[in-house]
Amino acid sequence: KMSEKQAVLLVQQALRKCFQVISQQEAVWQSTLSECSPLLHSLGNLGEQLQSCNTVALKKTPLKDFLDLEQCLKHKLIMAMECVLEKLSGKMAFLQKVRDTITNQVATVFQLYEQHTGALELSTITERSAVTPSLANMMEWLQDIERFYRRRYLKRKLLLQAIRDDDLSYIQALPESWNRVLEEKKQDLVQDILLKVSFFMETP
Amino acid sequence: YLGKSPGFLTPKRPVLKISASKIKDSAADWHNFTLKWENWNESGFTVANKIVNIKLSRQTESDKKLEMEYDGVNLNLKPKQSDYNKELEGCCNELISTLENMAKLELKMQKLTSTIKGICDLEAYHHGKMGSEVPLFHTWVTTYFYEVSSKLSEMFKKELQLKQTIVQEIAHTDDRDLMMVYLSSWLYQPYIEENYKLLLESMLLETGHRPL
Repeated sequence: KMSEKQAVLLVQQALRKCFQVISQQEAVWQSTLSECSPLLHSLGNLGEQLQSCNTVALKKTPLKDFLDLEQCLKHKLIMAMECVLEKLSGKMAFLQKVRDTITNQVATVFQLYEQHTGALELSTITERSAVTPSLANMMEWLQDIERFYRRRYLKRKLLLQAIRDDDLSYIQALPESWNRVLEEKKQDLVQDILLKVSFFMETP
Repeated sequence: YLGKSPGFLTPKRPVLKISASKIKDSAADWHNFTLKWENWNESGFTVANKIVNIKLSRQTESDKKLEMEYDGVNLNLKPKQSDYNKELEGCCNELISTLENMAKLELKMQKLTSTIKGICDLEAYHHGKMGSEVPLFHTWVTTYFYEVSSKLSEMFKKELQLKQTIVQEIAHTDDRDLMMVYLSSWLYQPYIEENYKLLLESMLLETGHRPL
Protein backbone atom coordinates (compact mmCIF):
# COMPACT_ATOMS: atom_id res chain seq x y z
CA LYS A 1 0.00 0.00 0.00
CA MET A 2 1.22 3.48 -0.87
CA SER A 3 2.66 5.48 1.96
CA GLU A 4 1.25 8.87 2.79
CA LYS A 5 4.43 10.54 1.70
CA GLN A 6 4.28 8.95 -1.72
CA ALA A 7 0.65 9.98 -2.09
CA VAL A 8 1.49 13.59 -1.22
CA LEU A 9 4.31 13.63 -3.75
CA LEU A 10 2.03 12.25 -6.48
CA VAL A 11 -0.67 14.82 -5.85
CA GLN A 12 1.89 17.63 -5.66
CA GLN A 13 3.38 16.53 -8.95
CA ALA A 14 -0.04 16.58 -10.60
CA LEU A 15 -0.74 20.02 -9.13
CA ARG A 16 2.55 21.34 -10.41
CA LYS A 17 1.81 20.06 -13.90
CA CYS A 18 -1.69 21.53 -13.75
CA PHE A 19 -0.48 24.99 -12.76
CA GLN A 20 2.04 24.86 -15.58
CA VAL A 21 -0.71 24.08 -18.05
CA ILE A 22 -2.82 26.89 -16.62
CA SER A 23 0.04 29.31 -16.98
CA GLN A 24 0.52 28.36 -20.64
CA GLN A 25 -3.18 28.42 -21.37
CA GLU A 26 -3.60 31.79 -19.72
CA ALA A 27 -1.03 33.17 -22.17
CA VAL A 28 -2.96 31.65 -25.08
CA TRP A 29 -6.17 33.14 -23.67
CA GLN A 30 -4.69 36.61 -23.39
CA SER A 31 -3.17 36.64 -26.85
CA THR A 32 -6.40 35.34 -28.38
CA LEU A 33 -8.32 38.06 -26.59
CA SER A 34 -6.00 40.72 -27.94
CA GLU A 35 -6.68 39.42 -31.43
CA CYS A 36 -10.39 39.83 -30.80
CA SER A 37 -10.23 43.57 -30.06
CA PRO A 38 -9.67 44.79 -33.62
CA LEU A 39 -12.40 42.43 -34.84
CA LEU A 40 -14.87 43.85 -32.34
CA HIS A 41 -13.84 47.32 -33.36
CA SER A 42 -14.64 46.58 -37.01
CA LEU A 43 -17.90 44.99 -36.00
CA GLY A 44 -18.98 48.09 -34.10
CA ASN A 45 -17.85 50.22 -37.00
CA LEU A 46 -19.87 48.21 -39.50
CA GLY A 47 -22.87 48.51 -37.20
CA GLU A 48 -22.43 52.26 -37.27
CA GLN A 49 -22.24 52.28 -41.06
CA LEU A 50 -25.40 50.21 -41.38
CA GLN A 51 -27.12 52.51 -38.93
CA SER A 52 -26.20 55.54 -41.04
CA CYS A 53 -27.53 53.72 -44.08
CA ASN A 54 -30.85 53.35 -42.31
CA THR A 55 -30.92 56.92 -41.06
CA VAL A 56 -30.22 58.71 -44.32
CA ALA A 57 -33.15 59.15 -46.71
CA LEU A 58 -31.12 58.60 -49.86
CA LYS A 59 -33.96 59.88 -52.03
CA LYS A 60 -33.36 63.32 -50.62
CA THR A 61 -29.61 63.31 -51.21
CA PRO A 62 -27.34 63.67 -54.24
CA LEU A 63 -27.32 59.87 -54.34
CA LYS A 64 -31.01 59.77 -55.31
CA ASP A 65 -30.28 58.52 -58.83
CA PHE A 66 -28.66 55.37 -57.53
CA LEU A 67 -31.89 53.55 -56.93
CA ASP A 68 -30.51 50.26 -55.71
CA LEU A 69 -27.65 51.78 -53.74
CA GLU A 70 -29.13 51.24 -50.31
CA GLN A 71 -29.85 47.61 -50.98
CA CYS A 72 -26.45 46.91 -52.57
CA LEU A 73 -24.51 48.77 -49.91
CA LYS A 74 -26.35 47.09 -47.05
CA HIS A 75 -25.72 43.76 -48.68
CA LYS A 76 -22.00 44.48 -48.81
CA LEU A 77 -21.90 45.72 -45.23
CA ILE A 78 -23.76 42.67 -43.97
CA MET A 79 -21.38 40.41 -45.89
CA ALA A 80 -18.45 42.23 -44.31
CA MET A 81 -20.06 41.81 -40.92
CA GLU A 82 -20.55 38.10 -41.45
CA CYS A 83 -16.92 37.82 -42.42
CA VAL A 84 -15.84 39.47 -39.16
CA LEU A 85 -18.23 37.30 -37.16
CA GLU A 86 -16.76 34.22 -38.75
CA LYS A 87 -13.28 35.29 -37.71
CA LEU A 88 -14.57 36.00 -34.22
CA SER A 89 -16.12 32.59 -33.92
CA GLY A 90 -12.75 31.15 -34.88
CA LYS A 91 -11.24 33.04 -31.95
CA MET A 92 -14.04 31.83 -29.70
CA ALA A 93 -13.17 28.28 -30.64
CA PHE A 94 -9.63 28.95 -29.39
CA LEU A 95 -10.99 30.33 -26.13
CA GLN A 96 -13.24 27.33 -25.76
CA LYS A 97 -10.26 25.05 -26.25
CA VAL A 98 -8.41 26.87 -23.48
CA ARG A 99 -11.39 26.42 -21.20
CA ASP A 100 -11.67 22.71 -22.04
CA THR A 101 -7.96 22.09 -21.59
CA ILE A 102 -8.09 23.63 -18.15
CA THR A 103 -11.27 21.76 -17.18
CA ASN A 104 -9.68 18.47 -18.21
CA GLN A 105 -6.41 19.15 -16.47
CA VAL A 106 -8.17 20.10 -13.23
CA ALA A 107 -10.37 17.00 -13.46
CA THR A 108 -7.24 14.86 -13.78
CA VAL A 109 -5.83 16.28 -10.56
CA PHE A 110 -9.09 15.70 -8.72
CA GLN A 111 -9.29 12.15 -9.98
CA LEU A 112 -5.81 11.42 -8.71
CA TYR A 113 -6.63 13.04 -5.41
CA GLU A 114 -9.75 10.91 -4.99
CA GLN A 115 -7.70 7.78 -5.66
CA HIS A 116 -5.29 8.53 -2.83
CA THR A 117 -7.61 10.23 -0.45
CA GLY A 118 -7.55 7.15 1.80
CA ALA A 119 -3.82 7.52 2.35
CA LEU A 120 -4.04 11.20 3.28
CA GLU A 121 -4.65 12.43 6.80
CA LEU A 122 -6.57 15.68 7.26
CA SER A 123 -3.54 17.23 8.94
CA THR A 124 -1.43 16.40 5.89
CA ILE A 125 -3.93 17.95 3.53
CA THR A 126 -3.97 21.24 5.39
CA GLU A 127 -0.26 21.29 6.16
CA ARG A 128 1.71 24.08 4.55
CA SER A 129 5.19 25.54 4.59
CA ALA A 130 6.71 28.87 3.68
CA VAL A 131 7.05 27.88 0.04
CA THR A 132 4.35 25.23 -0.38
CA PRO A 133 0.69 26.08 0.11
CA SER A 134 -1.47 23.30 1.52
CA LEU A 135 -2.96 20.68 -0.77
CA ALA A 136 -6.42 21.77 0.33
CA ASN A 137 -5.73 25.38 -0.68
CA MET A 138 -4.27 24.46 -4.01
CA MET A 139 -7.17 22.15 -4.86
CA GLU A 140 -9.54 24.96 -4.00
CA TRP A 141 -7.64 27.39 -6.24
CA LEU A 142 -7.85 24.97 -9.11
CA GLN A 143 -11.60 24.92 -8.74
CA ASP A 144 -11.69 28.71 -8.61
CA ILE A 145 -9.66 28.93 -11.79
CA GLU A 146 -11.76 26.40 -13.61
CA ARG A 147 -14.99 28.15 -12.68
CA PHE A 148 -13.43 31.45 -13.67
CA TYR A 149 -12.57 30.26 -17.18
CA ARG A 150 -15.99 28.77 -17.66
CA ARG A 151 -17.61 32.05 -16.63
CA ARG A 152 -15.39 34.33 -18.66
CA TYR A 153 -15.88 32.16 -21.74
CA LEU A 154 -19.63 32.00 -21.28
CA LYS A 155 -20.00 35.75 -20.88
CA ARG A 156 -18.29 36.41 -24.18
CA LYS A 157 -20.14 33.65 -25.92
CA LEU A 158 -23.46 35.08 -24.74
CA LEU A 159 -22.49 38.56 -25.89
CA LEU A 160 -21.87 37.28 -29.40
CA GLN A 161 -24.91 35.02 -29.43
CA ALA A 162 -27.19 37.96 -28.70
CA ILE A 163 -26.14 39.69 -31.94
CA ARG A 164 -29.04 40.27 -34.32
CA ASP A 165 -28.88 41.85 -37.75
CA ASP A 166 -31.62 44.30 -36.89
CA ASP A 167 -30.27 45.39 -33.51
CA LEU A 168 -27.62 47.79 -34.70
CA SER A 169 -27.27 49.73 -31.48
CA TYR A 170 -26.35 46.48 -29.74
CA ILE A 171 -23.67 45.83 -32.36
CA GLN A 172 -22.36 49.38 -32.07
CA ALA A 173 -22.06 49.01 -28.30
CA LEU A 174 -20.43 45.60 -28.55
CA PRO A 175 -16.78 46.69 -28.37
CA GLU A 176 -17.56 48.44 -25.11
CA SER A 177 -19.58 45.57 -23.67
CA TRP A 178 -16.76 43.23 -24.59
CA ASN A 179 -14.20 45.41 -22.82
CA ARG A 180 -16.39 45.61 -19.75
CA VAL A 181 -16.04 41.85 -19.35
CA LEU A 182 -12.30 42.49 -19.31
CA GLU A 183 -12.53 45.09 -16.63
CA GLU A 184 -14.18 42.91 -14.05
CA LYS A 185 -12.63 42.84 -10.61
CA LYS A 186 -11.59 39.22 -10.69
CA GLN A 187 -9.56 39.77 -13.83
CA ASP A 188 -6.33 39.06 -11.95
CA LEU A 189 -7.55 35.88 -10.27
CA VAL A 190 -5.42 33.57 -12.40
CA GLN A 191 -2.30 35.70 -12.13
CA ASP A 192 -2.74 36.05 -8.36
CA ILE A 193 -3.02 32.32 -7.86
CA LEU A 194 -0.09 31.61 -10.16
CA LEU A 195 1.92 34.04 -8.06
CA LYS A 196 0.96 32.21 -4.87
CA VAL A 197 2.19 28.90 -6.28
CA SER A 198 5.27 30.22 -8.05
CA PHE A 199 7.74 28.92 -5.43
CA PHE A 200 5.88 25.64 -5.25
CA MET A 201 6.11 25.26 -9.03
CA GLU A 202 9.86 25.82 -8.97
CA THR A 203 10.59 23.16 -6.35
CA PRO A 204 11.37 19.85 -7.97
CA TYR B 1 1.46 41.36 -62.18
CA LEU B 2 0.68 39.14 -65.14
CA GLY B 3 2.84 39.47 -68.23
CA LYS B 4 1.60 39.34 -71.77
CA SER B 5 1.53 36.01 -73.48
CA PRO B 6 4.65 34.49 -74.90
CA GLY B 7 4.22 31.86 -77.56
CA PHE B 8 3.54 28.72 -75.57
CA LEU B 9 -0.11 28.54 -76.42
CA THR B 10 -1.36 25.53 -78.25
CA PRO B 11 -4.77 26.47 -79.55
CA LYS B 12 -6.91 23.77 -81.07
CA ARG B 13 -6.62 25.32 -84.53
CA PRO B 14 -3.59 27.30 -85.72
CA VAL B 15 -5.85 29.85 -87.44
CA LEU B 16 -7.09 30.86 -84.02
CA LYS B 17 -3.65 31.51 -82.67
CA ILE B 18 -3.95 35.26 -82.98
CA SER B 19 -7.41 35.39 -81.41
CA ALA B 20 -6.27 33.18 -78.58
CA SER B 21 -3.22 35.23 -77.78
CA LYS B 22 -5.26 38.43 -77.91
CA ILE B 23 -7.77 36.98 -75.50
CA LYS B 24 -5.02 35.78 -73.25
CA ASP B 25 -3.54 39.28 -73.19
CA SER B 26 -6.94 40.72 -72.42
CA ALA B 27 -7.33 38.39 -69.45
CA ALA B 28 -3.97 39.59 -68.12
CA ASP B 29 -5.05 43.19 -68.65
CA TRP B 30 -8.24 42.60 -66.72
CA HIS B 31 -6.26 41.20 -63.85
CA ASN B 32 -3.84 44.11 -63.78
CA PHE B 33 -6.54 46.77 -64.19
CA THR B 34 -8.56 45.49 -61.27
CA LEU B 35 -5.48 45.35 -59.07
CA LYS B 36 -4.75 48.98 -59.91
CA TRP B 37 -8.37 49.86 -59.28
CA GLU B 38 -8.27 48.31 -55.83
CA ASN B 39 -5.11 50.27 -55.03
CA TRP B 40 -6.69 53.54 -56.12
CA ASN B 41 -9.76 52.65 -54.17
CA GLU B 42 -7.75 52.21 -51.01
CA SER B 43 -5.75 55.40 -51.34
CA GLY B 44 -8.91 57.26 -52.33
CA PHE B 45 -10.63 56.00 -49.22
CA THR B 46 -7.83 57.29 -47.03
CA VAL B 47 -8.25 60.75 -48.53
CA ALA B 48 -12.06 60.68 -48.35
CA ASN B 49 -11.77 59.65 -44.72
CA LYS B 50 -9.49 62.62 -44.08
CA ILE B 51 -12.00 64.97 -45.68
CA VAL B 52 -14.76 63.68 -43.43
CA ASN B 53 -12.56 64.02 -40.36
CA ILE B 54 -11.67 67.59 -41.21
CA LYS B 55 -15.35 68.39 -41.67
CA LEU B 56 -16.32 66.69 -38.43
CA SER B 57 -13.62 68.37 -36.40
CA ARG B 58 -14.68 71.72 -37.75
CA GLN B 59 -18.23 70.87 -36.71
CA THR B 60 -17.17 70.13 -33.14
CA GLU B 61 -15.16 73.34 -33.05
CA SER B 62 -18.13 75.43 -34.09
CA ASP B 63 -20.32 73.48 -31.65
CA LYS B 64 -17.91 74.44 -28.89
CA LYS B 65 -18.03 78.00 -30.01
CA LEU B 66 -21.81 77.94 -29.92
CA GLU B 67 -21.79 76.57 -26.39
CA MET B 68 -19.45 79.28 -25.25
CA GLU B 69 -21.57 81.98 -26.75
CA TYR B 70 -24.54 80.42 -25.08
CA ASP B 71 -22.79 80.65 -21.75
CA GLY B 72 -22.33 84.31 -22.41
CA VAL B 73 -18.57 84.02 -22.40
CA ASN B 74 -16.89 85.63 -25.32
CA LEU B 75 -13.44 84.14 -25.73
CA ASN B 76 -13.32 85.46 -29.24
CA LEU B 77 -12.34 82.10 -30.62
CA LYS B 78 -11.51 82.46 -34.25
CA PRO B 79 -10.91 79.01 -35.65
CA LYS B 80 -8.33 79.28 -38.34
CA GLN B 81 -10.82 79.13 -41.15
CA SER B 82 -8.22 79.55 -43.85
CA ASP B 83 -6.15 76.62 -42.58
CA TYR B 84 -9.20 74.39 -42.62
CA ASN B 85 -10.06 75.44 -46.11
CA LYS B 86 -6.55 74.88 -47.36
CA GLU B 87 -6.37 71.42 -45.89
CA LEU B 88 -9.82 70.54 -47.14
CA GLU B 89 -9.04 71.84 -50.59
CA GLY B 90 -5.81 69.87 -50.72
CA CYS B 91 -7.63 66.67 -49.86
CA CYS B 92 -10.39 67.34 -52.35
CA ASN B 93 -7.86 67.86 -55.11
CA GLU B 94 -6.14 64.65 -54.17
CA LEU B 95 -9.43 62.79 -54.28
CA ILE B 96 -10.27 64.30 -57.65
CA SER B 97 -6.99 63.17 -59.13
CA THR B 98 -7.52 59.68 -57.71
CA LEU B 99 -10.94 59.65 -59.34
CA GLU B 100 -9.39 60.75 -62.63
CA ASN B 101 -7.03 57.81 -62.48
CA MET B 102 -9.90 55.47 -61.82
CA ALA B 103 -11.84 56.98 -64.70
CA LYS B 104 -8.90 56.35 -67.03
CA LEU B 105 -8.75 52.80 -65.81
CA GLU B 106 -12.45 52.34 -66.36
CA LEU B 107 -12.06 53.62 -69.91
CA LYS B 108 -9.37 51.02 -70.50
CA MET B 109 -11.73 48.37 -69.22
CA GLN B 110 -14.38 49.48 -71.69
CA LYS B 111 -11.84 49.35 -74.50
CA LEU B 112 -10.81 45.90 -73.42
CA THR B 113 -14.38 44.73 -73.68
CA SER B 114 -14.75 46.16 -77.18
CA THR B 115 -11.50 44.47 -78.20
CA ILE B 116 -12.89 41.15 -77.04
CA LYS B 117 -16.13 41.92 -78.83
CA GLY B 118 -14.08 42.53 -81.99
CA ILE B 119 -12.38 39.16 -81.65
CA CYS B 120 -15.75 37.47 -81.24
CA ASP B 121 -17.10 39.20 -84.33
CA LEU B 122 -14.04 38.20 -86.31
CA GLU B 123 -14.35 34.59 -85.22
CA ALA B 124 -18.00 34.56 -86.19
CA TYR B 125 -17.16 36.11 -89.54
CA HIS B 126 -14.42 33.60 -90.34
CA HIS B 127 -15.91 30.46 -88.96
CA GLY B 128 -19.61 31.10 -88.79
CA LYS B 129 -21.70 30.61 -85.73
CA MET B 130 -20.69 26.96 -85.37
CA GLY B 131 -16.99 27.71 -85.73
CA SER B 132 -16.95 30.18 -82.91
CA GLU B 133 -18.44 27.61 -80.61
CA VAL B 134 -15.17 25.69 -80.54
CA PRO B 135 -13.25 26.71 -77.41
CA LEU B 136 -10.00 28.60 -77.95
CA PHE B 137 -8.51 27.19 -74.78
CA HIS B 138 -10.27 24.60 -72.65
CA THR B 139 -13.99 24.99 -72.27
CA TRP B 140 -15.03 28.59 -72.84
CA VAL B 141 -16.57 29.55 -76.16
CA THR B 142 -15.23 32.89 -77.38
CA THR B 143 -18.48 34.73 -76.76
CA TYR B 144 -18.27 33.79 -73.10
CA PHE B 145 -15.14 35.91 -72.74
CA TYR B 146 -17.12 38.81 -74.07
CA GLU B 147 -19.97 38.06 -71.69
CA VAL B 148 -17.66 38.04 -68.68
CA SER B 149 -15.74 41.09 -69.83
CA SER B 150 -18.83 43.19 -70.40
CA LYS B 151 -20.25 42.08 -67.08
CA LEU B 152 -17.07 43.25 -65.35
CA SER B 153 -17.08 46.51 -67.33
CA GLU B 154 -20.65 47.20 -66.31
CA MET B 155 -19.81 46.80 -62.61
CA PHE B 156 -16.86 49.17 -62.75
CA LYS B 157 -18.77 51.66 -64.88
CA LYS B 158 -21.57 51.90 -62.35
CA GLU B 159 -19.09 52.09 -59.51
CA LEU B 160 -17.26 54.93 -61.21
CA GLN B 161 -20.51 56.89 -61.58
CA LEU B 162 -21.15 56.45 -57.88
CA LYS B 163 -17.65 57.59 -57.04
CA GLN B 164 -18.02 60.66 -59.23
CA THR B 165 -21.07 61.68 -57.23
CA ILE B 166 -19.28 61.00 -53.96
CA VAL B 167 -16.30 63.15 -54.94
CA GLN B 168 -18.59 65.99 -55.98
CA GLU B 169 -20.62 65.90 -52.79
CA ILE B 170 -18.53 64.61 -49.92
CA ALA B 171 -17.19 68.01 -48.87
CA HIS B 172 -20.55 69.71 -49.21
CA THR B 173 -22.60 68.05 -46.54
CA ASP B 174 -22.73 68.50 -42.79
CA ASP B 175 -24.89 65.44 -42.29
CA ARG B 176 -22.79 62.96 -40.35
CA ASP B 177 -24.80 59.99 -41.51
CA LEU B 178 -24.61 61.00 -45.13
CA MET B 179 -20.83 61.38 -44.84
CA MET B 180 -20.75 57.89 -43.41
CA VAL B 181 -22.78 56.57 -46.36
CA TYR B 182 -20.36 58.27 -48.77
CA LEU B 183 -17.43 56.68 -46.99
CA SER B 184 -18.85 53.20 -46.80
CA SER B 185 -19.99 53.41 -50.41
CA TRP B 186 -16.50 54.35 -51.43
CA LEU B 187 -14.86 51.58 -49.47
CA TYR B 188 -17.29 48.72 -49.97
CA GLN B 189 -18.04 49.44 -53.64
CA PRO B 190 -21.67 48.29 -53.66
CA TYR B 191 -21.88 47.83 -57.42
CA ILE B 192 -18.89 45.57 -57.74
CA GLU B 193 -20.31 42.18 -56.94
CA GLU B 194 -18.38 39.84 -54.71
CA ASN B 195 -18.25 37.24 -57.46
CA TYR B 196 -16.11 39.46 -59.66
CA LYS B 197 -12.87 38.00 -58.41
CA LEU B 198 -14.23 34.55 -59.09
CA LEU B 199 -15.12 35.54 -62.66
CA LEU B 200 -11.68 37.00 -63.11
CA GLU B 201 -9.88 34.00 -61.67
CA SER B 202 -11.81 31.59 -63.85
CA MET B 203 -10.86 33.66 -66.88
CA LEU B 204 -7.20 33.47 -65.85
CA LEU B 205 -7.54 29.76 -65.32
CA GLU B 206 -9.17 29.25 -68.70
CA THR B 207 -6.50 31.24 -70.53
CA GLY B 208 -3.65 29.43 -68.81
CA HIS B 209 -2.41 32.28 -66.62
CA ARG B 210 -3.17 30.09 -63.66
CA PRO B 211 -2.22 26.42 -63.53
CA LEU B 212 -5.16 24.09 -63.88
